[in-house]
Amino acid sequence: MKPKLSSAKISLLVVLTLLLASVLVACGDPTATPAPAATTAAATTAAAVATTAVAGATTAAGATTGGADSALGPIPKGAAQLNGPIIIALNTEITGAGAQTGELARKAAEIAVDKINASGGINGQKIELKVEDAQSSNTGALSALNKGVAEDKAVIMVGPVKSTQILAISDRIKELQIPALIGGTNQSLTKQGNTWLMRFRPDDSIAANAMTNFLLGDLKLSKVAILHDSDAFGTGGADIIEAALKKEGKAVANRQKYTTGTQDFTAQLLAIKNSGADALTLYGTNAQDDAIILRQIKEQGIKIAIIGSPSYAQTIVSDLASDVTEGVYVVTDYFPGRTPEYEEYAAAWKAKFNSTPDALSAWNWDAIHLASRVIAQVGTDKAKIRDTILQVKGFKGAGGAFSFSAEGNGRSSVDILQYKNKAQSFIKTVAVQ
Amino acid sequence: MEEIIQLLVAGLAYGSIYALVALGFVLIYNAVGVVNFAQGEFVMVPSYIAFVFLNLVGLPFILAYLATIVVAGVFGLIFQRVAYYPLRNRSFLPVVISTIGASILLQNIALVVFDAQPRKPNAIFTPGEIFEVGTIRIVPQYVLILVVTLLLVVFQYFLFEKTSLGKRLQATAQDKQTAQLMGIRVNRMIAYTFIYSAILGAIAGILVSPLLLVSKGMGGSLALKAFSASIVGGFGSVPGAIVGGLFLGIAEKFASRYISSAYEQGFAFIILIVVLLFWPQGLFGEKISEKA
Repeated sequence: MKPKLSSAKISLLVVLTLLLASVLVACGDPTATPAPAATTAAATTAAAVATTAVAGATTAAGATTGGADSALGPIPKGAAQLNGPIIIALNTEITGAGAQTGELARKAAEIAVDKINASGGINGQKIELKVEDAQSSNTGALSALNKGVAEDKAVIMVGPVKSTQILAISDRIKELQIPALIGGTNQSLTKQGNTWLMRFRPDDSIAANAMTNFLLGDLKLSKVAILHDSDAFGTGGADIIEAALKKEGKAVANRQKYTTGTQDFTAQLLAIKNSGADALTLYGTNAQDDAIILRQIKEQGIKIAIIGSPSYAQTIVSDLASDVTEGVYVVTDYFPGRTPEYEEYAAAWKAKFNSTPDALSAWNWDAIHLASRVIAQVGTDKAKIRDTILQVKGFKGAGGAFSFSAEGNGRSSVDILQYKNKAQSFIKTVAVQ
Repeated sequence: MEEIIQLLVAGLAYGSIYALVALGFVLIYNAVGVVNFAQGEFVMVPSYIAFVFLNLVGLPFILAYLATIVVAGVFGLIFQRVAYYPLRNRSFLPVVISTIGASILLQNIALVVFDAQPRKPNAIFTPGEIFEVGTIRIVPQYVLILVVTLLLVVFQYFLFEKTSLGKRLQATAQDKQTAQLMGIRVNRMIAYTFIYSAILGAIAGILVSPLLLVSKGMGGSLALKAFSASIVGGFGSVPGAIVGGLFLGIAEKFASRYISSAYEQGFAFIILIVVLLFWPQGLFGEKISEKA
């Protein structure tokens, strides 16, 4: 007979419990992070006044460099005396569930650094990019932050892009006093009094409100269903859609959830199909899930208006689900390919990686370009870098125009696109005041 | 009614995949008394191999699938040699840890070789294509999964019950010492078991990758569900693995539709806990000592 059956069974249960625990931890509520006390350490001395002037100069430099083949151009030489290379940490997911997005972010950051270094760096100094792996987890993002500051001695950090991770490391960012150029879109991130967070993407309220307004106003539909990822991002987006519908006096026709990495959506889609909804909003985190959802929507014969969250515009969806995207609307940070700044980004991407540039990752490129301009002006003093970025108005990047609010939000508009004949076509820009 | 049938078909299709992976678990467990935590990679690795044969080499479907199965068999053998054989005289845990290590290693190799972007393998059926029976919409890939799984179960029954090889495999699973005394080459039988388990994984991967896309993490949640399925069915029981897989697949879909979609991924484990509490031996537990 089988030897050690009983101990084997016990070990089995132990391992199983551990696995279950890890599954449950992954589902934990990230918003449980305690809100930090609001302590703004904004410089109010004469230095700040000087910084303001520099910010003006930076803005002007950003706005005036035009030209067809070199939209952003080299970093304008500034007053700052720089000693040694400028170290930028990229806090992104190289391993784990988010590795797809992380890899695209790394590529976008790499081409930005290559570009700047090839055209003379920042006041003659090269940028060194240190990619730190957030391991697709909150603790991973924290250790990536610590490593970036303590070992790499980075002056700024780009990332993370996941709101959950940013919430988890927000307090530590404040302690370390490092300008964090983030891509997380959860509205609350910039509302907790952490002045070191600067957001390079439009927040969820902008995207979710635009989705609702587009369905009700432009398409004149009224019975809106929601299918969303049950993580903080998806739930947050769905809540905003529900609130926006309520404001218009409409109830949600049907609201369904799924966990990231779900393989089959038959149950959710049948519920939506049989609810009589005339429009479906999709709020997803993971583009691979999005691709599967779009295929199953077609399989279920759901023929209502569909509008997806920004991840539905990612190349993963347009490449992998090209057979089933026809007619689907997507709210995205910006519609790529309409500006020389974007062309420059796309050309750099194609030259280095020979693949379709990922529009949603362009904010990494923009963050590095904008930060480099600021560093050229004010040097590597982190507080000065932060204060200057917060005063930038009208910087034209590959991913649209950036004008920072005092809270640290750089973008205030989204674009709506539609898949037509397997390609994305521009519908309209929705700006929020 | 049509909704129930559609849920049933989807549930059976995913249940079949769980069942195939669960079979892989159970056969290896019976042969060597160890849970192979790289079972998910037995699905993931062949899925990538199939992708290479289909999309990069451009072989026709039948040829690509056969080639995949052959390569998967070789992969199973190498896995056995590297991750199990050197530790075969050690206790349960070192081998389990070794398979967990192998799982992490294989996922990261996939990440290095294919980067993190999921791949879409060429598929027999175009995505989004369905056929309608009355008002019921059936996904052809689901039907394919059901048919292939059924054929495989029949094949396996004949292999284990009607052939000398099957008898030797069963004997090895039941009692290695006695089997050895009877002149059965036990180590070779164990190697065959790993090969067959990898082939089951390959078939599951070929069937499911047009639906899930090929990515390094694709095997993880499948393996976890399949593991639950094999415990629900009674760990070590072959019919238990099949019934457990199907049961879990169907239960998941109905619970998601009629209870709450938020916890669809959790139902498998709720069922697992309930079964462990009330039927610790699983549904087919008593048959452990009889079956291979």
